[in-house]
Amino acid sequence: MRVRSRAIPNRSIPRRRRARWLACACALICLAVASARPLAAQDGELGEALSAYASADAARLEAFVLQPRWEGFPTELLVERTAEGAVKGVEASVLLAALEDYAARLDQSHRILGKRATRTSLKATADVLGREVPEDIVRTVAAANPKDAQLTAAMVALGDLVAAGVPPREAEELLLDAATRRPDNEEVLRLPARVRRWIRQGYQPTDAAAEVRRTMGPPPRPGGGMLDRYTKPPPDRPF
Amino acid sequence: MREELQKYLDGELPAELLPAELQQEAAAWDALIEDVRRTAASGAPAWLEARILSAVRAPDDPRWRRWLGWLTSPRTIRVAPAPAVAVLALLAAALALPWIGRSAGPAEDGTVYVQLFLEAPAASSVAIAGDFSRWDPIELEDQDGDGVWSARLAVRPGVYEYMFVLDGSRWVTDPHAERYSDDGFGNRNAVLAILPEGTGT
Repeated sequence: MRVRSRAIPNRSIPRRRRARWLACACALICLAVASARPLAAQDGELGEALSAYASADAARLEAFVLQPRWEGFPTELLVERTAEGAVKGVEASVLLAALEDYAARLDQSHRILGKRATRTSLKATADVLGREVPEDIVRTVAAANPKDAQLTAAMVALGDLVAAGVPPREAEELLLDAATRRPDNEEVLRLPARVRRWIRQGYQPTDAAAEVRRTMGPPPRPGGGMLDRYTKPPPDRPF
Repeated sequence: MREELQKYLDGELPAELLPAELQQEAAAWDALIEDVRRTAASGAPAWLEARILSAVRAPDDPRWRRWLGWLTSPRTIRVAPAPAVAVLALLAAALALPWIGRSAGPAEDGTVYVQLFLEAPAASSVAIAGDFSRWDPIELEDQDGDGVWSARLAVRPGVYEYMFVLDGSRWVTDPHAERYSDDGFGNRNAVLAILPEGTGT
């Protein structure tokens, strides 16, 4: 037979379409809930911190913290600093000035680190920039430490070395030298303490950093060792 | 079905040549086919043609177009309600887990326990506040009354700033910290750097 077609009205299609829409709506609701919760928590935290201030001050602080231009870094870092200021009883004007400075450094850190920026590395880098370390040094040290924890360790150590009095350029050289030896993160964090030990022995910070570099020995062969392999501990007695 | 009737329906045999006993049956078939034609012309739903055409693809369609067609054309997914509810519940739990974890405290994964001390014999209470606690003070204990207050904190790897709070109002920097950072308000926060072991991560 040639003519054998029949039109069968498919009444189940609209029901399936409804089910599909329902599934999409459920997925969207789940996503919205998941993304809204941290935001709500953050807003709640900020609101709680700002409740310590008069409404006009609170509004100014909130407007600063939540302004859209801080898209480059997590706003929670500013929320945290606001909470810190509030719990320490800092005046609104002082808090606002501190937030402006901190936000500028976080912004700069984000520009330096780019896509590698994480909450922790941003904090550490912002701290280094607060110690007036030139941006090119921060960039060089960041480039020499590709992994996140490695980068954070290097930034913490850089800030620490500068705080100990080591000039930024010498601190950079020490950290670059260390990076070629692929040290453990803890070893990098211990570098400033090792420099301080030499300083306590009477060395100038620059000489102390040079001494730590010298005691690292030559760079290891491929696959070779850690920093402490060549390190002779500095003398405990004053010389 | 008789062969003559089959030939008639296929258009191979005129009605006049059908045996008399088949004439009535042939007329019934004609009526049925006419009815089907009418239904197809007027009663078919509007979506049917589009659906059939979308399912029929030209043989020379490129692969990507076939995939696109597969992805964009409606599919029927049959799901039993019980497993669907279970999957939705699991999804909701997975979404809620990080939030629940935050309020309950740090997760076990990578958590490091840190013991912090402060000698403050004259203080009647000592607390520690830092960005690990969102600056909510956590009380320290002096169990043996020797004036050394301590707390054991569970923290995830990271860089944390903190200060001690004496008697609920006096902010004191940890004198034994390895590193410090200006808080921007004229004080120095102690800095606790805890990073994963190894050469990277």
